[in-house]
Amino acid sequence: MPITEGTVDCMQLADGFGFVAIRTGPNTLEAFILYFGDQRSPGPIALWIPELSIALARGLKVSISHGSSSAFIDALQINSP
Amino acid sequence: MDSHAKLQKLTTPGRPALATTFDRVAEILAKAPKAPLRLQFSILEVEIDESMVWSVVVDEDGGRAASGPSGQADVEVITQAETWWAMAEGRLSPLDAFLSGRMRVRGNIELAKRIFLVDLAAGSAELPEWLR
Repeated sequence: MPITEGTVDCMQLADGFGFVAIRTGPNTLEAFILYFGDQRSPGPIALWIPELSIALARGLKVSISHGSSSAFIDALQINSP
Repeated sequence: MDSHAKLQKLTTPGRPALATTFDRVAEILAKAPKAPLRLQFSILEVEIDESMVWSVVVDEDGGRAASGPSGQADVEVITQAETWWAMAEGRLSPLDAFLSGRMRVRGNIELAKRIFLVDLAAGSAELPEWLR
C-alpha cells in the first residue's frame, strides 16, 4: 500500500465531506479524502481529524497510507518533530 | 453521488489507443489561454501490475503528448487504465473518479481543478460550492 509523507497544508471539513491537503514538496500538494458522504466508517475519521489538526498546528510530518490510485486515507501516522 | 462535468471526448473511432487520448488533451489545452504547463499521467495496469507514464506539455509552441515522464510536472494524475478510459470516453467525470477513490491528483491542485473541471470539460458545468 503506498504511503505519502508530508505536512498538513489545510483541512476542509463539513457535513458530508472532509478533505486534507498534504504538502509533499515546495510546490506539490496532494488532496486526500477523509470522508465523502457515508462511504467511510466514522470511528477512524473521528480519530484522524484531531490528529491532523495537531499536525497542522505544530507542522508535524504525517504519513498517509492509501490505495495506489485512491485518495481515500486508509491509515494515518503522525511523527514526532 | 451527484454526477459532475465529464471530459470532452478524448477518443477517436476505430483504433482506441492511450496515445490518442493524450494527444487530444494536448490539442484541447493548447487552445485554452494559460501559462505554459506540464501534466503527467500515471496510468496503472492492474493486471500486469505496471504503470505507464504519459506527459502533456503546453507552451508557446503548442501542445504535445509523449510517452514518459514530463520532468517537473505542474499536475500529476494517477489512475487505473479502466478509469482513464471511462473518463476519456465521457462516461465518468474526473471529480466523480476522485471522490469514488479511483483517481489521485497531486501538484498544483488549483491548476488541476481548472484543467479537468473547466478547460477539458464538455460544456460549461457549475462546480459544486465546496470546490469553488
